[in-house]
Amino acid sequence: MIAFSHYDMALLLHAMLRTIVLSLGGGCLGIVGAVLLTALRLSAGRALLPLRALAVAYVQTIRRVPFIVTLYILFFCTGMAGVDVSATGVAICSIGLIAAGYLCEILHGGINTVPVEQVEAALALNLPTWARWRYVIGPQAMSAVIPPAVGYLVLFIKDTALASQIGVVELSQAGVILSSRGLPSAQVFCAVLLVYFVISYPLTCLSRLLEKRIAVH
Amino acid sequence: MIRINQFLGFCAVCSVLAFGKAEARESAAIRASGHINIGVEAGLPPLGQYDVRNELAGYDVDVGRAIALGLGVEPRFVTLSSSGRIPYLLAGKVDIVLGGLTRTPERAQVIAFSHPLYTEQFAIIAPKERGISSFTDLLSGMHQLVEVRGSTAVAYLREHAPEAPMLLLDSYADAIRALAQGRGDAMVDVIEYVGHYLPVQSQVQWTVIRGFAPPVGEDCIGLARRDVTLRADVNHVLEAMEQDGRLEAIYRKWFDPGSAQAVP
Amino acid sequence: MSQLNFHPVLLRLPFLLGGVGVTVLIATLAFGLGLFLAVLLVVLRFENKGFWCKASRSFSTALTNTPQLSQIFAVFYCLPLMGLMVSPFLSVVIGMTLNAAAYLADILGAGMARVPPVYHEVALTLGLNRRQTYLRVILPHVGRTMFPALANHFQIMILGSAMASIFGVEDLTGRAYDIGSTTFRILEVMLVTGGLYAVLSFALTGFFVLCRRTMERMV
Repeated sequence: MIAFSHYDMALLLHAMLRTIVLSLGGGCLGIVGAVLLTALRLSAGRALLPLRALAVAYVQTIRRVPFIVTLYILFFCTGMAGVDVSATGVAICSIGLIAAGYLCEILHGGINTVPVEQVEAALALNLPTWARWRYVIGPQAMSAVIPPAVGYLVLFIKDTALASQIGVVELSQAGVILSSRGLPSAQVFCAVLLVYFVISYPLTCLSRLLEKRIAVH
Repeated sequence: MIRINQFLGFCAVCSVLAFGKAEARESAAIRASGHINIGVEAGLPPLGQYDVRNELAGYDVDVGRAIALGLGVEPRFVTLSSSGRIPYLLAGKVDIVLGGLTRTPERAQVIAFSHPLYTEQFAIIAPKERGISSFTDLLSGMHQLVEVRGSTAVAYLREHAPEAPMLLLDSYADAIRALAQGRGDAMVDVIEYVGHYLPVQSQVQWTVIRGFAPPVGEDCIGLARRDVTLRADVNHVLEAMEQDGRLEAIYRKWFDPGSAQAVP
Repeated sequence: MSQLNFHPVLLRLPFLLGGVGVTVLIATLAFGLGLFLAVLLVVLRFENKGFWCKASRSFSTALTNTPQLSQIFAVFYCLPLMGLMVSPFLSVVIGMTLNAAAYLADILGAGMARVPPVYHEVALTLGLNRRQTYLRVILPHVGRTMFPALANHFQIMILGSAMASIFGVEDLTGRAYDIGSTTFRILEVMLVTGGLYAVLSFALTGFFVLCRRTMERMV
């Protein structure tokens, strides 16, 4: 055991914050993207058909490509398109893109669990569109959406480790830096794993709690 | 059929993103934006590493700062690995790239080089108990080499010791650690870079064999070929640095004096 | 380079396609070994209410709450410290196996909880011992009900095996990066690689649907 110096701790703390920023930023982007994609998928009318097909194709494909490959593609795409964005920015966007795909699938599935009769009844009551979503579809779909969505977002905290591959100094990269500084690797990796655990475990518990409280069985 | 359509859709989305202007930026664009993106390796002392205060520091970082100062812009460092140096440059992720970039004819076909910064030489680095005493020992193919992906040593070995099996890793830290742990028998690389990792693995007795290869060449700053004015500007700054002795001073600061020769 | 040029990449397509085999091999090995471990873990949970049950649960909690990448790093760097010299390929397989065991144990556990208590009673009346009960009655039932979740996790592992490239294994992503660093066409090669992963994944989906149908016909 060699004690971590003040700066080693500072690096770990900074890296932990970076991991949290990546997860939060990517998650928020993903939620926005998922809502838009789902809206597209539920849209009606012939004119929107190509967009609808594109949304379905996107959701189907993005979930079948490894995160690290998506990360590389986006990283080099932004460069070639002349967009000057930092590695952290690219990582957040990639997480957002993938999260949008997964969350859209969850959201779409959740909305489909609402029985058609409920929607028809709302229409028969002449409820305006917003009220139909706010009071009828929303609350019923949410119980099928929130628990898996939270579970999924927790899963993604761990995937942010791959952002190290494009040069983002997040937790696992901090581990590599510390161990190349000469600290014993076993100690460094234990510390890194522990920090991930401290971030992820409470959220896993939350997701389980939500599962028990609101999920429909 | 759906599968193919979806794949094509995916490709379409990506190519829409990809088509557009590319490559690193010209001097004017860099000056206008007020910053220059400089590619450095973060795991390659003495060229670049996170120091004990978690700041990027090293020869490349100092040279990069001086270039940015000479151009009158703010330096922004982008960390990358050996294998990423040229792809990053070609994809426009960096405007100039350092990281011990040796000038080779193959690379010169895709990127441009500045005036040379310094010369470097290959050495064999091996734990003593492996019993490797010369480069000819490696020719048999009996010894497992550990190398860094995308480095000039890999190309050199493919030509001069084609039989030798190679384990390719992403960084010098990983490669030396793998060697110390016995995942391989020897490594061939530029001793000026690797030498700084050897004391970290102090439990191993290292042998270093030099002199089997001619000086491998000159390390330069890499630039996109299109950026003619940027190259001229960078060379101009380098000349000024050479004249007032700053380049030499940075070299002395980071490299062990005498272990490698600066270009006079 | 202002336009995409796939030619240098297509020239090396056979080499890249070989990587698909390595990717499938890694995922299959890790999944198979992981499933075996997971069965042991989950049986411990249901048969033993004391220390071993807690140990099994803690194993899953610890490994599902930390990144697979860091786990493989730990295996890669810490096993040699214990005097075990394993190749990068094996390190990745071991790391992924442990990770898979943790997730698969949770999946199987959820399946076990849903096995009607009647099954146990019936097995008991038929005179089956514990081992026979698990092998002949409980596990096949769990396997059937949890098949979609298991298949889904296999797909996740195919995608996760891309991490092997970071450790110098020449899987699909590793080969892609190699081609990228020799031809300097990294974006093109990654686009092709992404496409290959997508095709592989769709093919696997089809395969699993077929498996499911065959299974249903057999029951």
